Amino acid sequence: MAGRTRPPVSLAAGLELARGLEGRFASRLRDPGVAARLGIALGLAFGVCFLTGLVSHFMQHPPFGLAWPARPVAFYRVTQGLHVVTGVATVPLLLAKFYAVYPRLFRWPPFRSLAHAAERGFVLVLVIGALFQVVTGLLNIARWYPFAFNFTTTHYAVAWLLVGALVVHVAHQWRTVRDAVRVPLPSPDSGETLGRRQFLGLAAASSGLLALVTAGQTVPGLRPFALLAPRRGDIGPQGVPVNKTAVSAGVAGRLRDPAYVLRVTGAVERELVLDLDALRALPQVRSWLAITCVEGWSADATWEGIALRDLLDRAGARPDARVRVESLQRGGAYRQSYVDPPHARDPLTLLALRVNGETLAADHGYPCRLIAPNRPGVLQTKWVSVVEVLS
Amino acid sequence: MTERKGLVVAFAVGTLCVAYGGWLLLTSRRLADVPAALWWLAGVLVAHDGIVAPLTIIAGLLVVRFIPALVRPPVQAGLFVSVVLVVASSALVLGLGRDPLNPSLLPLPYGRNLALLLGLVWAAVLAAIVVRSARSRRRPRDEANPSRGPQRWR
Repeated sequence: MAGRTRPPVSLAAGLELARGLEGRFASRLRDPGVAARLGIALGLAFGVCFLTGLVSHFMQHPPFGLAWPARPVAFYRVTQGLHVVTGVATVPLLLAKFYAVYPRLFRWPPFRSLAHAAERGFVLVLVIGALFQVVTGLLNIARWYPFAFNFTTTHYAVAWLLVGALVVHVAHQWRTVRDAVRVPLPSPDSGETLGRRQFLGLAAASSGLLALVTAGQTVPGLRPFALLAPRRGDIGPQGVPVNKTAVSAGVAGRLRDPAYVLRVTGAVERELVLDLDALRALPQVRSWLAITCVEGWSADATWEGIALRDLLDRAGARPDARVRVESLQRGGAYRQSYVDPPHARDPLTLLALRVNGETLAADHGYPCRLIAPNRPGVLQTKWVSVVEVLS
Repeated sequence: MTERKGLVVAFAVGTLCVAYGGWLLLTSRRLADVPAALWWLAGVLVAHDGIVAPLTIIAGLLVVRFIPALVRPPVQAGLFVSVVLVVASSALVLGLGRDPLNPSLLPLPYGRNLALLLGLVWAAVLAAIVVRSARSRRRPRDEANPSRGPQRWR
């Protein structure tokens, strides 16, 4: 690497090289003031990603007895939109931060003490975790899976590795950062290379640019700028994007079966067996609700169908009952979902037959789908055939 | 003293979180997840520290050597933003996640959009170069105090 005339051949020469290595990085951007400011931004960004990610995880896997509220209607839309936009926006911060601190990788001696070794171990976990979360996250929203592990569970596990290492790193660097940001960055930098302030401004501007060209997948007002958004809320059948198609769910052949009925069973006074005509004959309700995907996009639509609470009252279910909604899908992690009382009793929650004025497309869950406020899209079960009231 | 306590608490909390994450990772219900995840965890580190960072350094040295000082900062800025845009969009541009049955997935012309953004970035670089050269013609460098360029590798 170094422009020496002869490569070091002996161990002693190698050690000599290692000792001097950290001091040989010349760029003025490798500066504690730069690293500290980028570190603050990254710490905040990863904090947002972790908290919003926890919301999404616990909505899908409620810990014992927790029933999420159905309001505010747009809560999950905001948290998950923020999760993905913030994650994308960390790319320039992460690259800049690693650039600023890369020489520290070559500290000599590598470990001064056991405590120092432990601290560096946490930094290793932090670096790996940050890279892994951002890379796998970017691949997931692009729906490209060049890896054998399950994205959801692995991304969640590594989130804990990352946040643990982050807590230790923040505590360790607290003082250093506090002192570093008190010193204003030298100005003006000589105009021959990029200055420290300019570099920070550039990292911030790149973050903002990425957020701007991505956020349109969940913020309708930013759609014109959604140049690099994996989805757009207005593109899809009937003007709504699709995550799982009828074909990929293996239900395409069974949707149009004339024998289709919706069964309302379980802890009810009267079992209901309703064919399509019977469903259409029930009082129809209209809900303006967003479908919100865990991948960070969302789309508003007008849904029409039977209010779930009306159906439950008709069957004589208890008002505090939990409900299981089952799809025609024979397999898959999302062939059924549980609807807790706050959502089951919410007047906006429908078993929808129509969207945006048309009969549901096959990919949107024809003949009938669940749609409820403040709920991840994977739990808005499509192709519903059974509503079971749990005792 | 309190600072030391804070460190101990942070260390304990961090250790618990890391241990929990590691336990989740290693006890995945799908056995194939574990080696695949470990390979990728190692892979992202090697890819950055062993490939991306050295390439960045080499690129930086080339820029300092071959790009005149007058236009260097805007060019460095343009390169940084370009790399960021390419990294953040490459999975979309490659489009390997596309599904012919689901046109609502990756519906946009990402290659064209990336080219558009890169065009805007380099137009801004060009504008900055024009402004800088106009300024430098008006105000020649103070010869008594020439600012030293960055130190090279000795």
